[in-house]
Amino acid sequence: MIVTLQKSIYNIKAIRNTVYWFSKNFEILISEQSDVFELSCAEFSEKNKKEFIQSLNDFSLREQINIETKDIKNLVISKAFYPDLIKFKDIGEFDDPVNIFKRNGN
Amino acid sequence: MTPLISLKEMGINNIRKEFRKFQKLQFYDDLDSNSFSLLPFNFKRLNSGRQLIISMVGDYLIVPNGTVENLLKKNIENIDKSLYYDLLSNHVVSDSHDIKSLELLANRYRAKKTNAFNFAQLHIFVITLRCEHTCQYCQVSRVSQNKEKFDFSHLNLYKGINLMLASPENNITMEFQGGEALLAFDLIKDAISYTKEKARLVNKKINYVICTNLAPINDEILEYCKLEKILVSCSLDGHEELHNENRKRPGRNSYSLVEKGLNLSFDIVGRENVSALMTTTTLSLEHPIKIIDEYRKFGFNSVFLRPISPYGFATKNKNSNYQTNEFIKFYNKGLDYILELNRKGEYFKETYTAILLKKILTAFSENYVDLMSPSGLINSVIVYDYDGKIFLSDEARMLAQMKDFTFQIGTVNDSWEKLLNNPIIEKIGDAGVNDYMAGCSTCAYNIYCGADPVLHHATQGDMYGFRPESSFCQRNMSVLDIIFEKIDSEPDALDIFKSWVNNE
Repeated sequence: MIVTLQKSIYNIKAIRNTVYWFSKNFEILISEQSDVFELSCAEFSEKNKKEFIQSLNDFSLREQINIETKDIKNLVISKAFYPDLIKFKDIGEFDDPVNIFKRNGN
Repeated sequence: MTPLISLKEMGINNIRKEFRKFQKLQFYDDLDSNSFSLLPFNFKRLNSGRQLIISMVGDYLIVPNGTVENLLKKNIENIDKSLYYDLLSNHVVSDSHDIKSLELLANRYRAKKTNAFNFAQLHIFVITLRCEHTCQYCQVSRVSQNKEKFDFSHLNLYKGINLMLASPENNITMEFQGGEALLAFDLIKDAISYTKEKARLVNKKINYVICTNLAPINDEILEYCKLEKILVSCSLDGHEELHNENRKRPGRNSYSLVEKGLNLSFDIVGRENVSALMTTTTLSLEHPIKIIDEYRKFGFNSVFLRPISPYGFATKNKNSNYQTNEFIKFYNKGLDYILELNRKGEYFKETYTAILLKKILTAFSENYVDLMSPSGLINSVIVYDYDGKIFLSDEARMLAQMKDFTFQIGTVNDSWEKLLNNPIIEKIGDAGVNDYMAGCSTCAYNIYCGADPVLHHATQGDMYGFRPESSFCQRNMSVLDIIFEKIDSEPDALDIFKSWVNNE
């Protein structure tokens, strides 16, 4: 069975993550055309394909979250392990979680 | 309407006052909520159709189906107001564009990974390999004679203790293991006497634990344990028939010796200083309830439903080879029974679940080697074998019994500088961090889980491991699935779980 996925919709990382978990039971080959990825797997049934697509959709969401948040994650982890290397604020400076400064025009 | 005044005009004292005072409710309702951004999180789908969202610091929320999609599309109007505030307070989204708001997240992450900043606090001394039991699943080879060959030499023992005391931690647990550690009781006494004298000089606090099958225990040993405040950790696999079948010895009387030894230990060192540990064999799989009842019979208020480690002799025995899904069925049945006991008013907990719950329900982590990332090797435990070899974990020592010395970092004759320069330490640095490993980096549970390079090396010949076929991965994902499904579907499960974390 061949599953065709639009490149504009599906990220290759999400596809690879899905293939990784399915590779326990299936041999899946990924090939690349100009605007699609083609996944071929001889053993796939319709049920397998449905499960694969469901899993792929979730990995696509995870990849979107990753793209949007990876810089923050790296910053937080760097700060956690090297607290003195990255300074988010000077000593004595106020945090402003409910925007008091902003409401006072600062 | 709050007047607009500049920061400079406000002055430091006025700013302080402004920050201290409670504002009107409307003030908090009017947050800058229309422009939120995502913080790092992951999700899973639950059987109920709801989504489980887990933040990068381990806070979780069970939310309606479609919430993750709405967050990604920034469809704030489709997200319930109270849910939005939950998402804010659980660090899933942020409505602040100020980098400083990440300070808290960094501190929370640091607290969660606090073990990474430590050195080993648990130092295990395999005082002897001799044992009078011949348990089929025993992970180490056992020998019954030749004291000279299979006991720690005094010279090596003292060198090991010197190394332990030269390590950076000030609060150290020194654990004596075997074989059967109490067959070398005189050696343990010498070790403790030497350690006490030396520890005083370097101002370190040492806690002592003896792991024993209780067969050799007697009044004299227990009086010594009481005097030196030594904790007694014993093996109890379950009811008499099961225990005797699992733990064979001449006379087939292992259980009656444990029963006698436990009661004597309770009398002399006190119930609070005695613990028991079980190992699950194929024979145990049918009896989770009987095993739990056995622990209750002896007055314990917890049991650790612990699978067998796939090392050493365990891999060669039919009673030790079972599939992870069989273990999960056993665990699930046991956990259901334990929850029922709690519903009837009896405080009783399952230890592995409680370790995970501490990670799920609090800002902290338990110091449990298998579930650490970065790996707990070096950060948590060091093992000194009877012949002076030093290993990164007890499991690494078991591998060495199968002639695999991958995780041996040296001997008691080496300095810490040499031991820590062993190339394996660097490899573990890579293979012991699950945030960046295939299969783990995209797993919603990775903040609760570990990497366990030793197990993957032992079972798959690769420290990184292939997660879809990893027994470690299957077990932890299944246990966490069970925990969250219970929180989602059983109304009182969360309160019971909280009581386990709070020990009340």
